[in-house]
Amino acid sequence: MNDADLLREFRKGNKEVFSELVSRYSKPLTLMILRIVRDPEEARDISQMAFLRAYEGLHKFMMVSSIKTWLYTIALNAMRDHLRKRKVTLVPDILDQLADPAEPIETSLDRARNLERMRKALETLPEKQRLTLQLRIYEEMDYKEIAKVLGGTEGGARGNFFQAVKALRETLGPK
Amino acid sequence: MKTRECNEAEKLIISDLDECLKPSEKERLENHLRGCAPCRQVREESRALLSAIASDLPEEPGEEFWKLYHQSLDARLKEQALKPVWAFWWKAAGVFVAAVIALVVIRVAIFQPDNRQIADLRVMSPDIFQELEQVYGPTSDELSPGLLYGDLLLTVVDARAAARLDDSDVQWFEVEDETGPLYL
Repeated sequence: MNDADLLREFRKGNKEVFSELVSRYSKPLTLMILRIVRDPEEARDISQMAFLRAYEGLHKFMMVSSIKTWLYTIALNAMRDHLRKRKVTLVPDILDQLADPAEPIETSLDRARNLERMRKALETLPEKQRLTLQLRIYEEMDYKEIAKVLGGTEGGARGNFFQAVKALRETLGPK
Repeated sequence: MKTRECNEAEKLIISDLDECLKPSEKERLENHLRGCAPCRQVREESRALLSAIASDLPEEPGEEFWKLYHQSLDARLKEQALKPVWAFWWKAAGVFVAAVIALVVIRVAIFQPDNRQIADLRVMSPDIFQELEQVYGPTSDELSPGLLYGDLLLTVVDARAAARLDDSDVQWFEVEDETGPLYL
């Protein structure tokens, strides 16, 4: 049963098919959120929130985009709301990455410091630039898809990616 | 020093690392990079940056996480399925309370008697008030939305206009009795 069939069944009143949608998309959606928020509990909560919203809105969904794109849009909106509320800190697990016994401690420290600088620099980017960069790199979305899920145009998404890389390079460049 | 070509090269460098550069653009970029050390550095820095971001991935959660995920999502979905009944009644109650508050606010804001205007009229035209009191008795203290003489309600139509009229022009009192509004 493809997504369109699932939707038809759901509209006929067969709510059970929603669990099929969950099993298809919950993992990629949650991992996408996790790569951005970097906290499994928060990722789970945001992902579930997205599915709850999808359950509420599925009967009104017009299939103008794919269900996957629609779910990603809902999840990203839920995530943006969440990040705005929580004052993001994306650096909590850096010390874990020091725990490589094969590596000299100085190298580990340098790597952790660089990672911390990079994550902090990422946090300073405007939200749309940061999410464009992350969706492009982590999810390998094309710009058309990024424009659909974040809003805007394909050219705008391309521009956001360029601006994000440029700003990060300038921030993190040799000092 | 950065030239216009360098600015264009920077865009091409990022597009190139992003793997969406046309062959003609790629050739133009390579030509520029051969003679421009700062742009070669930009390319190296950008490459290192993108690679660092790509490799900075959180650890994927294990089986237990997904098991809990599906259990708690099922519970939340069941809870949500029951929600519409409650949501309807909460919404209805909310609308009712909002309507009551709105009515009270409108009643207070719009139909507040203007005691000052009525007091002015008493001073300006005491004869009419005396006549009304002789016929209908003393006024009620409840002045909203006008003076109440027994069963009659006296409303001030326009106090400014009233101030300009003499006692012979009494259209500015609208009086309502059981048979409906009439003008004195």
